[in-house]
Amino acid sequence: MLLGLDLPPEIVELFIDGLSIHLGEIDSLRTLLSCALVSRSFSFPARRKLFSSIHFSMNPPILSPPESRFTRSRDSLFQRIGSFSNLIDAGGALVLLIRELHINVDRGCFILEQQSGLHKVLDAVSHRSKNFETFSMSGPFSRPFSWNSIPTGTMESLTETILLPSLRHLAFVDVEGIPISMVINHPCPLSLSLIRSRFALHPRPSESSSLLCLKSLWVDRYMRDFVDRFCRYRRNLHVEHLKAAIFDRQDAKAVWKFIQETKDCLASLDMYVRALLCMLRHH
Amino acid sequence: MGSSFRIPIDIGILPDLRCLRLQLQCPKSNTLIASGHVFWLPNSANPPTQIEALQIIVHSTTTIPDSRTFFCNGEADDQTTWDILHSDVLREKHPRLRRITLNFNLEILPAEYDDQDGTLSLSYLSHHLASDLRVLLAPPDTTSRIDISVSLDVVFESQRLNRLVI
Repeated sequence: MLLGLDLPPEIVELFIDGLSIHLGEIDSLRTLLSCALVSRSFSFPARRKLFSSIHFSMNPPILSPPESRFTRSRDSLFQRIGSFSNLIDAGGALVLLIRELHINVDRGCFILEQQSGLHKVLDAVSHRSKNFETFSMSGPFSRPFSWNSIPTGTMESLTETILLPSLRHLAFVDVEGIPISMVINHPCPLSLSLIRSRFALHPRPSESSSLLCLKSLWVDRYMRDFVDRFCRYRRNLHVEHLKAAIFDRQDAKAVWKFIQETKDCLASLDMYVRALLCMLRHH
Repeated sequence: MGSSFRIPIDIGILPDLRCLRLQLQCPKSNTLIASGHVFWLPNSANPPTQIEALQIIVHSTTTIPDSRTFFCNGEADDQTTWDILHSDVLREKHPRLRRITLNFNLEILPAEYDDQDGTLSLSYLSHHLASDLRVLLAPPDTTSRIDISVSLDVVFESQRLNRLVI
């Protein structure tokens, strides 16, 4: 009940949806926080928006527009992760509202340290969240970090989270040496994005004849490596949507090779082509 | 063309392909890059495609914002380089094609866009370039059922923005 008005739930939903569009703005965040407290009818939709997409970063975009370059300290980051972990432990069904998890790895890779407590959040999500759909991990721009550099405890929690059957979207940005098994062994069709990221090179790959389904695939950079490290060992591919960046002839050949592997099911093709090379040769 | 970079991708082998989207990042040039430098439609032996939607996004930089020359390849015959996207041409190999979306993002470098008054109308330039684009894709005498959408986003190099008349 708000000011004597009993608003229909769908109107409240529309109002909250309108706010969530601007979640990147601090005012909208404050409004959502207020909505979560204002009344019972507003509380659940507001909390659902607030907790649907969780970002862990030392440079939180909502507080740090590009010009401000706000950076949290290592201790502050750990404290906030710890607080969030306690909140979802104490909050009962709160963890069920988490649908997306985005991790931005800082240059020092502090967030991946065991002391950060990130593994506790990941464990809570992987054990209790039934609605978890999207996971992304971004390394520092121009300084990709290696998956092998992740401490064992955090790596195990990450792997368990990524292998959740409910996961539908998986994205890596500036990450090297990603275990290919996380995609191959995933129980459900994925939308996979590899932006300036590569799978690990397996020294002794094993041929598999089982069908691998990817709902969509986006490869930006390292297309040749992707084909070399992925397609060589997977003959039965089912990819419906392909997005690829082509920077030179070798990339184009790799895309063509991939398309031939999955030609019978490809429904959409999205290619970014840099034509600079063409013109230089032409003139 | 010689050893120029062409994409050896024949979409004719994709029986279920419904949507094709190309983003082209072109180098600085006084004329728009010829479509055939990047892709072309071969006379494939494959059956007609099932493509329903084609979207092409072109990012280009130029110093000469003259629509009379920009969409030509600069050669003597003055032939357009984008006639490959003419709806009549496309319809032959893509009978299910219903929608073509063409987005041009054109950045104009300084030193060339001043007119006699020292300024140039951005809307005037955009209008003429967009009109030429539409004529390229769908001449007035065309009876195509394809829905063609053309958008042109012209921007001047950022440091000269304060001189624009929009």
